[in-house]
Amino acid sequence: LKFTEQQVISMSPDDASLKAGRSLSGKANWLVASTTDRALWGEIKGSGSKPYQTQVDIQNLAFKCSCPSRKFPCKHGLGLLLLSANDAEAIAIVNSEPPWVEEWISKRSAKIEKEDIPKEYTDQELEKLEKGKQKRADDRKTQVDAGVEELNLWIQDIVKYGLLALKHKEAIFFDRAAARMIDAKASGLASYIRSLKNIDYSKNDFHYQVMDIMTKLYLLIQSYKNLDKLDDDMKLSIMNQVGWSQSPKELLADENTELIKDKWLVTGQEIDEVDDIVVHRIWLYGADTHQVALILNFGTRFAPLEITIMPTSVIEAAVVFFPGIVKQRAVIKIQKSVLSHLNALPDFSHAHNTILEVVEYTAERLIHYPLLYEHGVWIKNIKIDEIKGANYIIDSLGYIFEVSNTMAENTILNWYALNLDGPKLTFGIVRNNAFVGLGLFDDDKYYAL
Amino acid sequence: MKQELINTFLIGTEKKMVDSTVMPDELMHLYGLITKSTQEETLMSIGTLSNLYNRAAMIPYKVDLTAHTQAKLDSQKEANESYESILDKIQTLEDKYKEPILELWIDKLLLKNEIVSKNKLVSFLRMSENANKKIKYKATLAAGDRGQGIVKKISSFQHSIIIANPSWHEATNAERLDIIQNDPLAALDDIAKDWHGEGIVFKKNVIELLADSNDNDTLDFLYSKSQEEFVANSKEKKTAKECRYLISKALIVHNHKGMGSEIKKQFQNYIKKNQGGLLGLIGRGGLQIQLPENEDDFWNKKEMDAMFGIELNNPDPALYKTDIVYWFSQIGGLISAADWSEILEVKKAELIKYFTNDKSFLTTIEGKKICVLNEMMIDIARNYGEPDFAFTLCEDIPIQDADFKIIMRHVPKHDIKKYIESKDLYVDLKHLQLLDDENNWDINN
Repeated sequence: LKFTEQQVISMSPDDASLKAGRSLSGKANWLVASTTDRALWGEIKGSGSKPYQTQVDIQNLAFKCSCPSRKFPCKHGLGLLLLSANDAEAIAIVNSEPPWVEEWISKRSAKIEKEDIPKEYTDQELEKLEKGKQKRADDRKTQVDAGVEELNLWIQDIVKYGLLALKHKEAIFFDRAAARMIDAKASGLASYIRSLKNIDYSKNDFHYQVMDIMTKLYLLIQSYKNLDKLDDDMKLSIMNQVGWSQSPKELLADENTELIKDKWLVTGQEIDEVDDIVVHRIWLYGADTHQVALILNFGTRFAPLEITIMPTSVIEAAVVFFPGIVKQRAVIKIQKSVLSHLNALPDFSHAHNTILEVVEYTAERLIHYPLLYEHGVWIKNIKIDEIKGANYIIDSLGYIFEVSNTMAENTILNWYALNLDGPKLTFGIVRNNAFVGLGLFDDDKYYAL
Repeated sequence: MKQELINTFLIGTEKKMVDSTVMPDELMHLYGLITKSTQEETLMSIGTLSNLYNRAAMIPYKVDLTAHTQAKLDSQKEANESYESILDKIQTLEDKYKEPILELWIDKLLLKNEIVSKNKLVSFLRMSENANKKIKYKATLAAGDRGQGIVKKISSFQHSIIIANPSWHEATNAERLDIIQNDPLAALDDIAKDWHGEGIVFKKNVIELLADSNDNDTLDFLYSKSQEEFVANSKEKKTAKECRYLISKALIVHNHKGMGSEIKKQFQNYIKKNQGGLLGLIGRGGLQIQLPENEDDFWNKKEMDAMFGIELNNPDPALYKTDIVYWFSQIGGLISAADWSEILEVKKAELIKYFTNDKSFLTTIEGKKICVLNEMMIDIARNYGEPDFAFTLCEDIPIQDADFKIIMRHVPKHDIKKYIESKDLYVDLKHLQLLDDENNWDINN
């Protein structure tokens, strides 16, 4: 698989890593730079006495480096990939890998194969497992119930004394409440509190954002309190948002789940870092099924992300959606191959023609699930434009929709550049009444922003 | 959400009771189904329902499309992929090499009348944003007309845009200097019009920029200033004196009103036949410079100040044996190597040998012989850009990197190219970076 520079750029965790990676992407930086059909590796002088060993699994994209960085991929990984993208001749094509690469690649292959074979349990083991599982679930429910009750009171306290009082609160006011929710194993609720903390309280209209978040949070709390009255899918969705993360392993092991096979275009990814946990949010679009799937990839300092899917590439894979009202979050069960691009433009007849259509579609989805946090959409013929100092998308009828201020400056600039010759078919996320652009088609070629 | 409800949210239920009638009628039925036991629960229930209602009923704003027309399209074509891939390699260079090579890359692009492709534009501008003003300006050109909107959004390019779209009256002094540098002739009228109101430091900066021009109107302008404003006087500021020096230098170097010839004649008065030997070092006629030991009609403080505006006090008597040797070192560079060659009747190639060996201009410090005319020779090279003299000078005397660029400033690019070819200096960045606008090598090779 040959990576393009754009694909490598889109893998970068941040601008600083990319800059550092670029500075290491010269041939002269690498003591060794070689590849086989399954791995790319290199050795580069670092601050230690031994050179850093950097390796990339190019079949099931994954990185490993002996440097101490917790960035993923690290600057060495990016540097090596950039070198291979821009100066293929600098990479020696060899027949076999050195032991340190061979060992890692073989382990990975073995692990992938092992994951495909479910373990068989005896009835006794199964019963024991089930009991343990039930106890853990009961214990957790008790903890979450207490957390939800506490948060309900916290909200009521805030509205009792008024939102204006929040202007004078220190960050610790929110941090403490968020920490209590983490202790109560309700991490979803904690993230709402963090959103409240991140609001700019010096702005005159701060209260609109506070009311929006608090009312959604209140709805979530009330829904949780009424879980027994909800159907299974709704119950799962609510529990998910409170913090019950569904286990991808269990989902993958469940043979009854529906496999959605398709050629998935990797439309883009967002990288978040919360409390030392790096989260890659990767959005896929099925070329034939027209489904949008969100893959979450988590990594920490001690357990770096192992699987990476390159934006703008196309993976031939079968995904499984997590159950819930909104079938959006998914895991990849089988990944057959990676293509560098789509051979033909998918049928986009279902893409939205106007922003008004997107807003109506969003409203419909909200009716089904009022706690819908985000969803991915294709919109035809839109471009980014500046109106009174803020960025908006604008369609052919003149409808506008605000672009999320969470987007990085360079990403926004790239978007403007790709729109220089006119509006494009664009993919993005509708989230918190704003649009996050992820990529667009230009002359049948997909570009990640 | 109704203002009444928002007010309750803002000041709190403790101070303002909730009024459920503010809710739309459509929601009253749902509201009735919700259990609420406190004022706070009531407020949150109403707020939640109202928020959902508003979100679901949201209609996007519409704007007049005529105000959002397409960016200007360029007639130039985009650079091809393989040429743009060189940018990635430039990106990996050390900073000190990055700028000159980037400039070469841009020059070549502009020469081909091409612009940067839209998907490379942002990374290209980011690469250029920390470069010097000249490169940044060229980068704005490489962005094409259509890319100017993007350039404007990058704060570090704001200044460069003003250069691209000069408007003298709106520009700050720093921006005006860029405008002059970009097109001195076009700026001359504006300079003349505003001259009296300008401060002395700005004037000096303007003179520095105009001094490079050999345009007659520009030199007339400078000449008029030397006659009116920068005449030597005992109360003048140091900067005014420096202005006089800069103007004199420009007028002499460009031989405006025969001033260069006049100085050459003056120097010729101090050329004598060598009495004491030095055969082999000097030219066929055995001529050498013999400066007076004491002040005379030309070599005196008043004349040096009035005519040249040079610093009169010998800054280092250990180095310069007399004031006159010091003054000579300051003004000897105002005439060309060709003129010196003619005056001394030596070949240009022997001129440097003469200056560096004539014992009148050698001083021994800590046992080491030092030539006091090195700076003067650099001045000659800088002022006239005579290739043979400049190249020989760089080979014969130790030259700092900064001086190297200065010396080569006016040397024609095709001569530099010839020199690089003859000396096989293709991998010598110091030389390569001297090539810019007129370079027509293929950067792909």
